[in-house]
Amino acid sequence: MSAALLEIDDVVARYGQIEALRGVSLMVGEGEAVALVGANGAGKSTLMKCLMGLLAPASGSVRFAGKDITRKATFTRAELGIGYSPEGRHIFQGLTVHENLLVASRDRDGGRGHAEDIYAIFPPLREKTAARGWELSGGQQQMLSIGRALMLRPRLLLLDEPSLGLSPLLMTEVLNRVQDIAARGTAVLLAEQNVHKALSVSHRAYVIKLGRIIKASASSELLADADLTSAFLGAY
Amino acid sequence: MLLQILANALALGAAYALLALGFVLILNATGAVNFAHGDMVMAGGYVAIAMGSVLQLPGALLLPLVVAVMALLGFVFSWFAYFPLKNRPPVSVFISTIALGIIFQNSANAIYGAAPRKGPPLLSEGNFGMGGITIGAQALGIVVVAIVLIVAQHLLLNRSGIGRKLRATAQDREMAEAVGIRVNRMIALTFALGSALAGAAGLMLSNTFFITPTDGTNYVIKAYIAVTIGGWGSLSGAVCGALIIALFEVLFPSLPLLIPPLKIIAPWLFTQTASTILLYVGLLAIMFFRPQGLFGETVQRRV
Ligand SMILES: Nc1ncnc2c1ncn2[C@@H]1O[C@H](COP(=O)(O)OP(=O)(O)OP(=O)(O)O)[C@@H](O)[C@H]1O
Ligand SMILES: [Mg+2]
Repeated sequence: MSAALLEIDDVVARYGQIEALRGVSLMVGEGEAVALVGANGAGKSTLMKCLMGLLAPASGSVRFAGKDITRKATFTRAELGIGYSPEGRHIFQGLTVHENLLVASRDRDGGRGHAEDIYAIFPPLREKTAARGWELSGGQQQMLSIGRALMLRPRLLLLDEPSLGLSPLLMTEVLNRVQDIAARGTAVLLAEQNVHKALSVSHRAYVIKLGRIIKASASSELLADADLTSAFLGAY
Repeated sequence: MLLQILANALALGAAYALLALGFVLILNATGAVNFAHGDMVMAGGYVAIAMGSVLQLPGALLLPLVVAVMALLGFVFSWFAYFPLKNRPPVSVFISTIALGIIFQNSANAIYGAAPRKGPPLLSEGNFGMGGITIGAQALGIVVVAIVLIVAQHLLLNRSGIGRKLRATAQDREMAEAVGIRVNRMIALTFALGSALAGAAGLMLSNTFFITPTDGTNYVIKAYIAVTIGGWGSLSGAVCGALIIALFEVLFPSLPLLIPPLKIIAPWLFTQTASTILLYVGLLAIMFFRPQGLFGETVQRRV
């Protein structure tokens, strides 16, 4: 296993009375693609928010690249190299596609050069550079959301349900790009309800249920054990 | 005659536009109404008067200084009125801005007293004659300054990296921070920018209409009406709304001058008081029947 880039230790998170995470521990290695699979309400998005500092954990710790970032501000985490594509995409609606990319860049040239790389990864965006966020289709928004997260040249990419609302064809397309991104050395933590596809593009996987990690193994192993997958996750 | 009235309306509208733009920028960035925004106009007027009496310079040269001082004041203001309360409901910020506004008013009263003061003119008090029509130098100056500032504001917001960050912050604060933008810095900057625009308006209005410590309330309500007319959150709408208000305020009471029979039919209708009442009736009507503003389409998008 590669050196640990992200280490989550016994994280508990609450929304008021609801305990959404009940002591989650997991690890993502440098350049590794890790899937986080689980049913509706299992706590996947909650964990992503804790990692990004958008929700403060009640206890537990998060370490990134050897630093304790549990109490760090959200923008600091971005600066340290965590890219985030949230559930629901959250692209900047009033900014154009190109502006959505540039605004996330920390490059000297304002990101103009790097934006070209993003258009190479997601060609449909190239035809829409001047379109406003709200003019995009769901698939284009998803591509833009991932592309924007890549603009800060992250060491770790957090992807929360990129397949949500996409056609099977488009979903395959987007997840294949995710696989490419990981192959080029960016670590990926991919939260998905779409278990089969998520497992097929990742190295390892964690199964989360009711705020607890109930299984951790190689993706190929989980994938082979189809019965196990459906037992843990319901009808998939 | 009509041209002169229109020139005055345009000048007033231009000053209101600066005021309304700052108001809506802060509204978009924070989601909260800054009720002290009118007091920034008042403060700008007094800063201009203070600097003018020391430096003995015309308003046009004082303008950059007033803008800088007011930007600093807006920056400091945000640390007291906004940041301590930013995680509370927007109404808390609304209340804290009212409180700070009252402090501003009382400070101005303590320093300058309640009597109206006159600010320095941009260039001179004279008139420009052009082909038989005369237009006040101040009115012309206000329009020119406002156009320059509005264009500068537009370029800053839409053509610069910092402008992209300001807009991203206004649209989605959490996501802006998640892409590495220092959101608090952007919001403080927005307060600085908005207050600077209000201060510029204050410098110019204080010459034409004088200034008293309590003028702010009137001005912030004008900004509020302009934004309601133009569509909540829309920058271009705010400018249009400001022009419409000014046109109404200037044109309506002078209708009898243009159409003498009106003076006989309904003299009570074309007074300053009646026109103010009508303006507020119009505001209520828009709020009831077109909550998205006169120009806004369905749900307002913040662009
Ligand atoms: N803002 C919130 N306020 C209160 N409870 C919440 C909030 N967000 C999530 N929850 C609760 O926390 C639990 C975990 O939710 P979370 O969104 O993390 O699940 P998820 O695994 O991402 O689900 P999905 O696959 O549907 O996106 C759920 O029980 C949910 O109802
Ligand atoms: Mg989720």
